[in-house]
Amino acid sequence: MCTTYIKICNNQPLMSLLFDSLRGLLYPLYLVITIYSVVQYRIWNLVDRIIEHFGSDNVKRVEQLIPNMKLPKHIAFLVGDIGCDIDDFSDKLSQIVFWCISCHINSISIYDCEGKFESNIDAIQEKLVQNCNHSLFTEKPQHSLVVKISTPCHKNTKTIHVNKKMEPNESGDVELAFLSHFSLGKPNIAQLASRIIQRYDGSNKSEDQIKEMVSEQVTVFRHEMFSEPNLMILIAPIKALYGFSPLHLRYVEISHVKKSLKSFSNQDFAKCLLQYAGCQQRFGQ
Amino acid sequence: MFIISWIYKKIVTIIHTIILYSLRFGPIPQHIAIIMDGNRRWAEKHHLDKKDGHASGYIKIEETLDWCEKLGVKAITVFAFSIDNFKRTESEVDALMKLAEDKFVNMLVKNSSLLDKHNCAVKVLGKWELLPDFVRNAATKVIEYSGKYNNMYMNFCFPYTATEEITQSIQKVVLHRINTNHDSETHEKTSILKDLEDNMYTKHCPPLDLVIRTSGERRLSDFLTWQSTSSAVFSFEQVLWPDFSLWNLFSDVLNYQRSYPEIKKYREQMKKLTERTERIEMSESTH
Repeated sequence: MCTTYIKICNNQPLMSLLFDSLRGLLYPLYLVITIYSVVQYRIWNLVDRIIEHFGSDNVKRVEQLIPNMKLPKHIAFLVGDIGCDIDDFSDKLSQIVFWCISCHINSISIYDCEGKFESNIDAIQEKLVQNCNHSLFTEKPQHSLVVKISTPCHKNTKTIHVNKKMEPNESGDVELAFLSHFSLGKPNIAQLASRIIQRYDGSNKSEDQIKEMVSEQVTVFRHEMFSEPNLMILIAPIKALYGFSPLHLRYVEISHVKKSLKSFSNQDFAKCLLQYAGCQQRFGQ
Repeated sequence: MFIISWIYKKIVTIIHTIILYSLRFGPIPQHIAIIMDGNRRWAEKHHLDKKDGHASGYIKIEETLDWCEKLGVKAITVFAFSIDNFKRTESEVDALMKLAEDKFVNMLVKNSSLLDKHNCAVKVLGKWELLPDFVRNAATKVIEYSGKYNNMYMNFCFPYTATEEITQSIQKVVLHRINTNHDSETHEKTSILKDLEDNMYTKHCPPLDLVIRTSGERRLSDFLTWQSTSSAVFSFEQVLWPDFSLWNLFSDVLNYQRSYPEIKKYREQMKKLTERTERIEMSESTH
C-alpha cells in the first residue's frame, strides 16, 4: 500500500488529473486567499499612512544628513500615470525640480511615455519661474541659478533664471530634461540602427568591422545622447518601466512610489533619497 | 523518525501543490525572470565558502522550476552570470564555471533529470565566446538533449548583459540589411523595431511578465532591460536567494494578480506606442 501511495505521489500526470477534478474545492480556497490578500494589503497601506503621518519626518532627516549623505548626481522621475491637467502637473513638476535643487542634485530628467511633458514645456517653464522660491527645506533660496531645459526629440533648449542659495563651490547650472518613449526608448534604438544602415557607404568592410562600428555607435548612444541616471523614482500605480530606454538602465537604483503625480509629496521624495543613500553598488564584483 | 520525516515532507509537498494549483484561477505570469542575488552573503551568514553559497543557489533554482511548473509558468529566465562578473577573483570565477559544468552534466542523467521530470527545454543565453570550452561543450549537450521538450523553457543567462544582447541584435539587423543591399521590397514588410525584437535571445519565450530580484537590491543590473521596459512588472524581495521560499513566489504572483487590471492597461498602452512607432517607421521608409 505504501509503495502504491509513493507511486501515486510521484506520478505527476495523475496528480494533475486529481487536482483538476478538485477544482470545485480549490476555487473557494482561491477566493479566500485573494480576499485575505486584498484586506491585508489595505490594512498595511493604512498602517503605512499612519506611520507616515505620525512617524519620523523624512525631510528633516535628509536635511540633517545631507552634508554627508550619498546623493544621486543624476535623478530621473518616471511618471506612469499623469492623472491630472496641465496646470496641476506643471505645478507639481516645478516643485519636484526645486526639491532636487535644494538637495544639490543638478541633473534632473522627467519621463512620461506619451510625451505630455515634452509637449507642454512652456507651461512647466512658467511654473518654474512662479515657484522659484520653493524648497524642500525650511530655509528659502536667495541667489540666482540657471536652469537649462531640454528635450532630446525637439533639440529644444531653454534657459531660465531662478533663485537658489549657492554653496561656495557649486556650479550654477541645473540641467533639466523632459523625455518620452519616442525621444528615449526603443524607437530611438531602431533609429540608431537605421542611421547606421543609411550611413554605410558600401565600402567592402568585413563583418567584424561592421560589428565593431555598431558597438562603437551603441557606446556613443549610451553615453552622449543621455547619461544613465543614478536614481529613478517611479511614480506609478505599478512597478514597471513604461518604455524607458533599455540602454540606460544598467545600474539605475529604482524607487517606487505608488501614488499619483499630484499626491507625490516631499516626504516621498525624501524617503527615496534615504533609500538611495543606504544602497550598495557592487557593479558585478 | 525517517517515516515521520517522509510523511511530513509529503504533507508539505501536497499543501504546496494545493496552494500553487489554487493560484491558477487567477492570471499567471507566463514568463518569470529572476535575478538570483545574495548567494555570497548567504554563504557568509552561514560561515560557508562562496562556492557553497552558489551551490545552494542552484538547488533553489531546481525548487523554483518545480513550483513554476505547477503554477503553469511557461518560461523562467535566471541571471546566472553577468559578463561583469568576470571582474571577480579568478578562483571564484573558476568555481562558478566548474559548478555550471557539473550542473549541466547532471541534467543529462536520464530519467532522474530535472529536464525529464518537467519536460523542460534548456537554453543558455549570452556571449558564449567568453565561456571556457568545457562549459560550452556541456551546455551544448544539454541544449541538444532537451530540445525535444516543449512544456516549458528554462533559460540560463550565462554570461550575459542586456547591453551585449541589444548590441548583438543591432549588429545582426544591420548586417542583414546591408547584405541584402537595402532590398526595398523585402524590408517594406518588417520594421527595424520588429527585426530587433526577433533577434533578442528570448525570442522563443512569451513576453516577460514578472521580474523578481532577491536580497533587497532595487536595480536590474543590466538584465533583460529590453524585455522589461514594455511588459514586465518588478518585485524586489528582501530575502537572500538561497532562502527564497514558495511563500515569496506565492506573494509575488498574488501581487501580480492583484495588480493585473493596471498591468493590462499598461500593456495596452505600450502596445499602442509600439504600433505607432512601427507605422511611423514604415511610412518613413516608403518615402
